[in-house]
Amino acid sequence: MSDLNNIDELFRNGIEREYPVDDGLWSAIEAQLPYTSTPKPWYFNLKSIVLAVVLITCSFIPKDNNRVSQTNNNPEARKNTLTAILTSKSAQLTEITNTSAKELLLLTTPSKINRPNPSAKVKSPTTKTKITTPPGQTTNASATKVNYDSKPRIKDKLRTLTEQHEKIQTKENLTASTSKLISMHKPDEFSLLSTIPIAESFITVSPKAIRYPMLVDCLIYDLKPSPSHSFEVESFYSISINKSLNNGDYSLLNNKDNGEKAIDFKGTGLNYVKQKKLLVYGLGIQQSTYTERYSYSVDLEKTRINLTYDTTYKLVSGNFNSNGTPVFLIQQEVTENANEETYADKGEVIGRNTIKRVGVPLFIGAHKSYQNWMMQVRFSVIPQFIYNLSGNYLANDLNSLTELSETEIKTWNLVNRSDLSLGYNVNEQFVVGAKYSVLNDLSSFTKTYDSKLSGQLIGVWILWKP
Amino acid sequence: MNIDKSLIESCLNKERAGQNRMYKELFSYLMNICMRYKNDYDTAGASLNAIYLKILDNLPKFRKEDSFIAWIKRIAVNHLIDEYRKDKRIKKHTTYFEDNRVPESKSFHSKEAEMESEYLLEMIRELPPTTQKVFNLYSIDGYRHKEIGALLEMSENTSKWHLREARIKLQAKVLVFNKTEP
Repeated sequence: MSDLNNIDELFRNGIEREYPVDDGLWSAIEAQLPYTSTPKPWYFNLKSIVLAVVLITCSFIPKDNNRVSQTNNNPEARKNTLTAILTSKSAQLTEITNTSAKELLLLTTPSKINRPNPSAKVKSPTTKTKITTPPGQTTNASATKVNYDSKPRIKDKLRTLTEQHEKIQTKENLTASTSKLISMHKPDEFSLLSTIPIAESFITVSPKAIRYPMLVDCLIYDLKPSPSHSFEVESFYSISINKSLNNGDYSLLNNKDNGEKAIDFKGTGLNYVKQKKLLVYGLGIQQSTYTERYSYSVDLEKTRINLTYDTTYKLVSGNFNSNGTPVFLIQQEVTENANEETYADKGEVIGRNTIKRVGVPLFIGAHKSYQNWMMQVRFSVIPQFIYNLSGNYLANDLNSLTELSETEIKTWNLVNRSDLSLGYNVNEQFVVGAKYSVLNDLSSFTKTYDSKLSGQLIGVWILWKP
Repeated sequence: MNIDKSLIESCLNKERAGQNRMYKELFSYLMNICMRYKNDYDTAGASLNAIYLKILDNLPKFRKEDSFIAWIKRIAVNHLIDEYRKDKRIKKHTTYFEDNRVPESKSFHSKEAEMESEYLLEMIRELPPTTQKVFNLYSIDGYRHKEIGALLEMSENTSKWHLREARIKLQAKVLVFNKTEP
């Protein structure tokens, strides 16, 4: 064993040598040497990058405050919200239609009766609203003040208008004209009827509302399920994770089973989510890290102090005698020698194995919303590519370690994940939530025997609906 | 190696002549360290230059009461270990193959009494990467197992195990060398 110690000495002294200065290397470094100005600290660049990212992100935040539609993109939730508001406003609507009936202005044209012409100029003595002619448009309709002294006459007129309008409506593509009509009017032009709940009530409660088809169209359009696609950022962490070993050398697997313990499985991902009614599906990219702790009992080099004692005797004096018997004075000297020596002995080698993977989850599931809450169930299959390994495994001789490499670890494996998510609509664009997942390896990630992970994860996610 | 205060001051003032002189003074010492951690002269030279830049960058932080040589050695070793970690991340599936090739004959036969440093270096380089680093750090650079564990992200016992492996393998190589030596 002492030879092993000499090895250190041999190499320490033996490898030192004199290297002549290499002018080529100096030329290579000379250009990079600082001598005039110091480079700006790295964080200046980093700050610029962060600032740029923030600015770009801000530019995507919508600034349109005049949106007619309800903030929720989900048709079911929007419908529910609208119905609730409509109910509360129905009384107001009845009052408006009754009290203002006498002063209702009707737009008439000699040849045909159309939807309200945006180019018509209307004077109202009570509401004092004006519909002005946009530049470049000619006025075809004349505004006529109708004196409603009797209710039957008003009803007749309205019925006639309704019938005629319905005929026209079937011939025309209202969807195309809606956006134009809205954009041509000022916000206060229909001050009495400009709110969505009132317009909705017109559709359901009063046929008189047919006068304002642009608002009706708008609501109908808004209630249609929009093509829903979104991006989801998720982060997850294991609450329990286990590794099962099978189909290999019994003693090796037994040692590994006792010596290895899965610690955690964590990761982040970005998913593209497509929603069609109740169905959700999509794909993404995710990075995950699996960590396990190992503790193997192998031969280790240990050191100990070896004490030896040298005893020497020295004759101090031989000139004495006792009754003729010579007496010698002898001095005993004991010298203690302490030598450090190395020896091999079993010891625990402890460390961590880390396996980093990147995967492409393909998922399908169901989605259900209730008001601002939403719930999702998903089933994912994730092909994973192992891109980084660090740590050691117990070798087949059960007494040494081998570094993790592709000789033991497969490059690809397949994982299944089932998620149950609960989320809350924070605003029009963002939903935040938490998820509970069950993870199972569908294929082994080791070559010579089967190693599969299974566990439960919890995570958080943010959904962005562009 | 003659590193005096005026030379350090000159480098602090970013004088090119002083930087050149310092480079020449440190070259052999740094190259000896780099050659132990790198496989060939070219990569060792590249590392040496990177280390030298680091030394110049950090020179204002050097405390004059400390040993300059110990300070640059620490910078060099830390840099080389960082590079090793980076390489390890990049070469994700590094497989170690036992290299049993016989060293070049000129190196083998040029010395009769003692082993040539190149051959000894070659023996170290033939060790598995982590074992090689542990041996260099412990036996040559004088690091303790605890420090090695922190540097190479392993436990003390793992470091001890690597050291034992290194010593056993090197001893075997030395024995083979002695037997084959005429």
